[in-house]
Amino acid sequence: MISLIQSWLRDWKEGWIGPALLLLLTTGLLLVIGTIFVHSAADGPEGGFPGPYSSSHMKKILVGLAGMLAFSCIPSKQFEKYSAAFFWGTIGLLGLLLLWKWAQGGVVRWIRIGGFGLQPSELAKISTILLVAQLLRNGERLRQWKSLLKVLAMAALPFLMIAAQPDLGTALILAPTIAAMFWVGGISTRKFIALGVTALLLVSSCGWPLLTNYQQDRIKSYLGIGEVALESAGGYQVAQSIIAIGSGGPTGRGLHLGSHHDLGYLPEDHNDFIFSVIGEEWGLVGTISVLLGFLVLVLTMLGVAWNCRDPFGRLVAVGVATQIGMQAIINQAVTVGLLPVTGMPLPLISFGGTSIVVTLMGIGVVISFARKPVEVIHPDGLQRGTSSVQHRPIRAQTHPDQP
Amino acid sequence: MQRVRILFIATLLILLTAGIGSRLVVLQGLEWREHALRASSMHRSIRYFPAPRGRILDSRGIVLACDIPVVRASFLLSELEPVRWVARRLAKKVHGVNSKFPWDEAALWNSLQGARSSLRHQFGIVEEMANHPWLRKLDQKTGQEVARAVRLRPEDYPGVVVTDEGHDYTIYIDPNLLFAGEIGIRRMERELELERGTLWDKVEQAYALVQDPERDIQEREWIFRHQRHPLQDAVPAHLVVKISTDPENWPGIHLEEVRNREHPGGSFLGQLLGHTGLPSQAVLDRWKQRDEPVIDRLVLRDLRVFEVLQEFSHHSADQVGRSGLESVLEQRLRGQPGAEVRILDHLRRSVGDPLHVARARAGDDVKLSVDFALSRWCQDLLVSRDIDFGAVVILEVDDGSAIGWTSLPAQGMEVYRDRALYDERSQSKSGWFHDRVSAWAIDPGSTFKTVVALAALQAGVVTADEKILCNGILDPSQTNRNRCNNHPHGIELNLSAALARSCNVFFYTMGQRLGVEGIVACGEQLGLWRNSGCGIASESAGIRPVTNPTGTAIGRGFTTTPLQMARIALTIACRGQGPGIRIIDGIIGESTAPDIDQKHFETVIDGMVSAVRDRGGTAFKPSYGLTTYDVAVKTGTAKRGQSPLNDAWLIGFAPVVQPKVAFAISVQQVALGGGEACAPILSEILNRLEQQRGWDLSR
Repeated sequence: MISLIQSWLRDWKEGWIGPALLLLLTTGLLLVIGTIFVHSAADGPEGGFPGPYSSSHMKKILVGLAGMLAFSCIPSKQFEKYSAAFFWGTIGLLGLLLLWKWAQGGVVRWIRIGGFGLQPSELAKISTILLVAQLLRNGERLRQWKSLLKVLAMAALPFLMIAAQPDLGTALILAPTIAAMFWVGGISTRKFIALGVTALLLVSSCGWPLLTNYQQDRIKSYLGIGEVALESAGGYQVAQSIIAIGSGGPTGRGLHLGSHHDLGYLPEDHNDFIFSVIGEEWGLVGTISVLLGFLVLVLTMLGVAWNCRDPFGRLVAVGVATQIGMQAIINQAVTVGLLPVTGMPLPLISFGGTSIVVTLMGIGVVISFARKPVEVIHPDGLQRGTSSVQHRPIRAQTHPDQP
Repeated sequence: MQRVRILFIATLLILLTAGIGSRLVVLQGLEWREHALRASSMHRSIRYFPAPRGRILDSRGIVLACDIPVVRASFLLSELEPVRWVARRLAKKVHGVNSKFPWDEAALWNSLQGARSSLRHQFGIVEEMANHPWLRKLDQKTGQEVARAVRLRPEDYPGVVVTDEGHDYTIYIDPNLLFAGEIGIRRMERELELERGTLWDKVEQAYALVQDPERDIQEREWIFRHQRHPLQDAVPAHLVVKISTDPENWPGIHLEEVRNREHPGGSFLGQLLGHTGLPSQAVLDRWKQRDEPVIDRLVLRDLRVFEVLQEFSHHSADQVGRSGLESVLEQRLRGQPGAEVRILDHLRRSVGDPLHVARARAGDDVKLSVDFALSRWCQDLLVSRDIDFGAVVILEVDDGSAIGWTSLPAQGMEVYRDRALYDERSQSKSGWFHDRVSAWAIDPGSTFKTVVALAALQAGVVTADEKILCNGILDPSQTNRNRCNNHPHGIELNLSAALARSCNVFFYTMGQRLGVEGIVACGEQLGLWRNSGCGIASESAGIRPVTNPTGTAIGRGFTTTPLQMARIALTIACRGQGPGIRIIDGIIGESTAPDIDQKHFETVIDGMVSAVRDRGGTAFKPSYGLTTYDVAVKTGTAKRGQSPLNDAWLIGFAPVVQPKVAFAISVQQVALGGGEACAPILSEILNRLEQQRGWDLSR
């Protein structure tokens, strides 16, 4: 028993120096920034720290950090082993939500269990990455159209179910994630372009009528087409966001002194538009810091993918990196008026529950790969593609091909 | 290859991030001053509009009551002046530099209030006030920091001027900016020629509410940040122009369109129409009990919630019916408030089109059966004859519609807008607040003999042919009681003749034969002493007789209203089956179906016709002008106690066969009898009806 505990402790202590530590530090920094600005945006200075929103936010961060640390200690093979079960589990939860929606009507995105709300669409983001990585690990499926389309269909299933909630913003983030995984997975450029063009044609021809009114209004408002009430289109939100960010100037107005959001002119200031609050209160210094923080986080994860010898781990790292990176970029682009409003929160920073927990879990998975890289047996031995992570013993493992 | 592709993705993410970074550099590096100014000034405003009330129309669509939009000035405490913001920001800046600075935010605020008090005498009088020294001898470091902050963001410190005095710094305040709110309001007092302090006192009262520790924090927050406190109603046009074109000089003052209720006809029909007013506390409590929100008291960020609540919500400036038809028809007349969301710039000008509009919905219009032109003409007729107190009601026999409705003295909304006038009239015994047609019950006099006649015939205590001798007194042994001076004495009269000549002795006898109970029973069948059911407010039922059958029989010792007597005339005209009275579209009063043989009605009608046509009839005189009309009438004269003045009555209908119109005329407090006072008036009314409606009412 003692030796088991010692072995576990030894395992747990290994592998933190390097990309894993960088991931931890960057994640921690972004979480701290998020907590500070959730408090500023939602609680205000009068009640003292922490206020009700920041308390709730920190509780979720703690749950997420616990999940992240737990996932970072799980051997990477376990992720691959249970990816299918996880995926189908989240599909089941999404199916339940859709059934509820059809029965009761309205918008249903949450499952309430006791006092906690769980958002299956967030879980679906990570489970889809894991399943697609597992399916594409050896690249065989990408060579044939039939098998490629099967994988695509599997990935499209959660996309469609999330979009039907409707939660188009969350669904959309799956698209670049899966595209990046396909790209890194080895799909031919020709096939990739063909799929991309087909998707664009489908969206432009069939997608528009499927959008709800407010979604159409947002796009029309962004493109400056027709007369759309700005409020419903999000045009007002974006206009106020730009004013808030711009008014921060180079150094910001100071923490808790951002009157534009404080006086209520900036809606959703603790959610989708928290970047605007950072811009108003910490100025260009704050926004560039957050931008760089995400860039470092994403590039570190891509670095893990670069060094990862296990195709599954590589694809997961690319998937998680792309997802977090694209979500951050889209959120920031919306706040500065470069994209229409999508309703996508800023990862690790926006007030939220399942989103933060799932994002931290995803980072935990990548940390697991960073800490314990898996050697792939090459026919010509270890000479080709030697990993730079050499200071730990690397155990050879076999990889089942079927899910 | 996979690594190349990973590199590609990394490059793409870097490029996208760089794109956002450049955009941020533009916004926060190059354009930030412009956005800072906008941020300090631009704000979204939700404006709520009171519910437009439905109109009240006459039978021909003439507007009797409607909403008139007026411009009202109100103020928002949080916008009135930036003094508190300045105190807070300066405190934070100063303490950030010098933690030992002796004054905290509260002390700075109090100091600014002290400066205000010393300068107040100039507010609204001196156009450009000079800078006023405030904080002196600030050390170099603190002074430099404050000066820098003010220089970088002057919009955060309006009215603050920092001067380097060499050894130290002095902070001056520019009262024109810092106290702009009070200056604007004082200026408004001067423009409106109001006593100094009239408007500013309202601001002080609002501030006192905010500082009241008894109120909970949410209510105080609402009073300070969101509630629009009324400042001045009906702002004159020249001031509206000044405030709207130069709002910078009138910070915190909002102009909003509210709706005043007006009666275009002036005081005419005022008591019937009633009046409206702002919701009283009782009304607010009633709305609260019914879960009907007052929409401008909710803090909404957009109109989605408003659109759900619109149907059930009210506005604090809604006109609510307080009396008369305005009160009775409240549910039909009340509309639904509206709202719009606008972005306003620092000059409170709208930026772009409204973001979202939820239109106010007007209440339903209500049509009355009353003919405004005819009724107004009747009023003018009474006034031209120097009649101060009286009533005329004209009913269409076909369906009971009240086409003529006149009440004097007339009183409209003016009494509710003039406190002194209200106090004077509410203490007067002249019944200013009562509609004389339906709510002012008086002795009906001899007009009541028609009811007694019907009762007596139906009860069988008299026949149409029975004659009774009238010597001018019922009981010769009691010479000072029960007398009759309406006709020559010593003649025998049957019922018709007795009606025509209004013989008191005949009806004293009927009273003795019937008893009070018999008379009352018949009167109730004919609709007396209860509401007509036509839906008007405050209808008087009158006082039922309980004793003195002889006095009762000639219409003394109890009261009825002209509306009830008109209903009697209507029932007689219909020979029993009288329709319910209608005045409000969609509401029909109670119809009458008395258990009285039709032949008895004919007997009574004979008497009423004879009153006009036969020599000796109470309405016979050619000078009255009725003899040319095919009309049946009964006059009445009710003595007013010991006063020499009478209440003169006349009821009837025309034409006799297939009648078109029934009427009751009551001329009160005159020295004339019923025939003399009312018959000439009826003659003119019948002439008017012939001209206006083309009816043939002549013999």
